[in-house]
Amino acid sequence: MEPGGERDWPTWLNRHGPALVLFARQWAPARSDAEDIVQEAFIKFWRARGSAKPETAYLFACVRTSALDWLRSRTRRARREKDAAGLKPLFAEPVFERFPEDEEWRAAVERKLSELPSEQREVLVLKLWGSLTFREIGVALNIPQDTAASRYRYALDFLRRNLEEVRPNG
Amino acid sequence: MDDRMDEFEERLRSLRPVGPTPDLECRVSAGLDGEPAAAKPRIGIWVVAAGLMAATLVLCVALARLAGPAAAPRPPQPAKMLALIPRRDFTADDPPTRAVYSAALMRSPETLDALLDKHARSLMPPERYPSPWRNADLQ
Repeated sequence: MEPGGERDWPTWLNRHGPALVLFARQWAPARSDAEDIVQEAFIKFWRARGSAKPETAYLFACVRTSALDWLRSRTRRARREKDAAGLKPLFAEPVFERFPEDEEWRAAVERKLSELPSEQREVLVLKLWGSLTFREIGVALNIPQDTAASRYRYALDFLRRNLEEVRPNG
Repeated sequence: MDDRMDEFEERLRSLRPVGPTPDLECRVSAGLDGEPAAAKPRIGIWVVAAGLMAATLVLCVALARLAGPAAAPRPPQPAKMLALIPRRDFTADDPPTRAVYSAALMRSPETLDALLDKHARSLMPPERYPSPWRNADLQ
């Protein structure tokens, strides 16, 4: 059941916050930048949520739009400064909580996640950590549901192959 | 398009994304309350700095006014002259007013004395005054 109510935005933020930040970090790897994006997107979403269904898909769509806007402005700035930002690894900081039982597994997942094509990675993030259905992912990314499902399968196959040798403990 | 997950997917899903800092909730709250949300702390610093500069400027102006040369004394206002226009003439029956006494004095000090005596007599019993004092002295 989706959280609702006029004053219930903290519930929304607490429930989806980690996935929203993770989703934004595909374009803005630094956590602080990702939070700026989520902040802007969440406010936009909350003010207009009544006009968009499904609401969770719309929330992630807002984050994506804000992230792409942020990326465009940053790209212009980076060009002016001749910054070789594109050569940096995608996730310079951990994107998942520390996993004491198997840090190797966590690091490997982050590494392989950053190697995925962006259109596959965003579907994977929405599905696994955003808990969206393929139908909702299709709405959020403005792609057919089948396309969302096939991108997810490609991403999952890639991770299976590349994480085969790093099986999680336990 | 099966939404069910296998063991590998569940393993991936068990990793928990790093959550937002508590500051994000404060910023969202400020944004939803209609206030301009501080996208970055440094924006707040600029606002505080601008406020401090404005306060300093106001303080400097106030101190400059206090420490500056004393205000030039205002030129004394000309005293309002009360026009005392003495009556040109009077009779012995005029009431005891300042104008009447002034007119009497202008005629002569003796005339004023006589007039004062006459007025005094009119307020007191007649037996207390000597008879030589008559209105004729005022003529």
